[in-house]
Amino acid sequence: MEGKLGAAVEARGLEKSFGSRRALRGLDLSIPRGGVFGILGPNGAGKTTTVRILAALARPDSGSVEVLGRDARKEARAVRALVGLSPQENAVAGRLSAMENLLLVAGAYGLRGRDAKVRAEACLRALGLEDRARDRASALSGGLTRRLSIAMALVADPPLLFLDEPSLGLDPEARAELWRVIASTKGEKTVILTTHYLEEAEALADRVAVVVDGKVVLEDSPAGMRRRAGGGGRVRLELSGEEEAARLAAALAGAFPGLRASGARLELEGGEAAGLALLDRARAAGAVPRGFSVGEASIGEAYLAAIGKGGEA
Amino acid sequence: MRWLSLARRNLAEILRDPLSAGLGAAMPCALLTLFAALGRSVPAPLFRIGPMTPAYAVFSFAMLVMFSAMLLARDRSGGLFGRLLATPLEPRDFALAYALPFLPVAALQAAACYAVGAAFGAPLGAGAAASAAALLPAALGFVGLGLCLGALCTENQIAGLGSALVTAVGVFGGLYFDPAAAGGFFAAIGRILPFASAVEAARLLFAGSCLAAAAAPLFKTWAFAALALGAGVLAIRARARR
Repeated sequence: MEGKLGAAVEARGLEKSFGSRRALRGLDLSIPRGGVFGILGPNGAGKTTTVRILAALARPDSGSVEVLGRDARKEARAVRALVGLSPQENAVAGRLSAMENLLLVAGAYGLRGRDAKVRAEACLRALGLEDRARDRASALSGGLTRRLSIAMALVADPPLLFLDEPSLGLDPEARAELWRVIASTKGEKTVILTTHYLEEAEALADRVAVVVDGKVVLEDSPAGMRRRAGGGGRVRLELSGEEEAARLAAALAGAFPGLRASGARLELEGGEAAGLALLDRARAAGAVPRGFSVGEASIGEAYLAAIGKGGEA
Repeated sequence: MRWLSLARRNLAEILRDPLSAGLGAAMPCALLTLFAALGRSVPAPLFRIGPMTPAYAVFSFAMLVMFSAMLLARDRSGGLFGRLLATPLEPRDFALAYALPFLPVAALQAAACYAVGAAFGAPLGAGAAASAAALLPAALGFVGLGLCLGALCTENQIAGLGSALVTAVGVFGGLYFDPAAAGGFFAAIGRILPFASAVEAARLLFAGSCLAAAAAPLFKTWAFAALALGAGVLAIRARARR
């Protein structure tokens, strides 16, 4: 059953100010259960404030927020019992072992004794840390520490997980491994992911919200965002230089509405036919193309467009 | 009892840094040794080993301000505190988890001061045990002040403010001179702050006075401890809401 009862998070009209700075300006979010929801936005857009309010760590100045059916303003402790948070920094107790770190957080959720140990061992296995259980957290590499941080968020088996910039600073291999772990929670948990990496949101998220200036300016699936960016296709024609690209963009603008120069490249929304027509006309105009491609638009283009819209609003 | 796991971790953190706890006992013991030796050459009432011993035990508790503040501040700067705020732990849970592990340290500090006092001839009887037991809540008061600093200040600020507080305990607690006898500013501040009361209660009980005789300063000391811990809870709450 979908709708309000089925949503993991329902936030309406969230406002939050810090002194004279307005961090959130009427932010609305509806996050369905069981998937990965990405929150994107530039620095200072209000992502972290949003997460802090949704995780019942901060109270909004106004607006309502329900997390798994509970009012995060009035039932903050109950909400915190239902969520796990992996913050941006590697927030671990460096002098404790990996296992002790997990038991520390498990205890904070009321898990004790054998139950806590069983959960901790399961998390260590899930995150590939079982061989490092007795190692001090301070002795783990950046990637392993990040995995430990996520294990700590998972140890109480919360139905809702907040991951704040989970792959920040990780090498590509460690990032890929982390993505596998996050993807494995799909269907079992609701994951709310804030990230600066668009490819991370594209790879993991079922839906994405772009937050700009404290409000959501775009919410869609990654596929929907790609469609918004280029209607499903984008032609790229690489030329010898910026001057040639600018000259051709001006010369062919009448024949190809929406044609634009981007550095030494011409870009046009459209499919293969439009691309081949552009290629012919460019050659006829004396250009010697160095590269040509027709591909799907990326969510990065939709994101950049959204940020531009947000800035104008 | 969700705070127990954090308390266990904090105790482990304290035990894994024996140098700090050792210094917390060693510095008051060194001062006590110095003044006890001085007292043998200069027979002033201020340097009598009997009254000095419990006073330095109280003074040693002041070191807990720095230790507890630094423990909390390090957890804040490292992000662990922020992570734990996202769990069902409440500010009072944090206060208990950060305060109670310092009780064994306080007991150790008091025991070290009493041992040094005994070496210089202080009588260790039932009064010593009574004064130690009655004053352990004062140690929690100092930890409460430490939680205030740890929740609200940076590590650099704590180093400065903590040192100032330790000095204030020495001066207004009557370790180096009697603030009441000094009169004026010193007497007035000494009466307001709880440090002199804690020292007075410790001295009375150490000397074998009954609990009733030490009731007034003891009550003030316990009230300070309760208020300081309450302030610690409020400081943690304030930090959590930022």
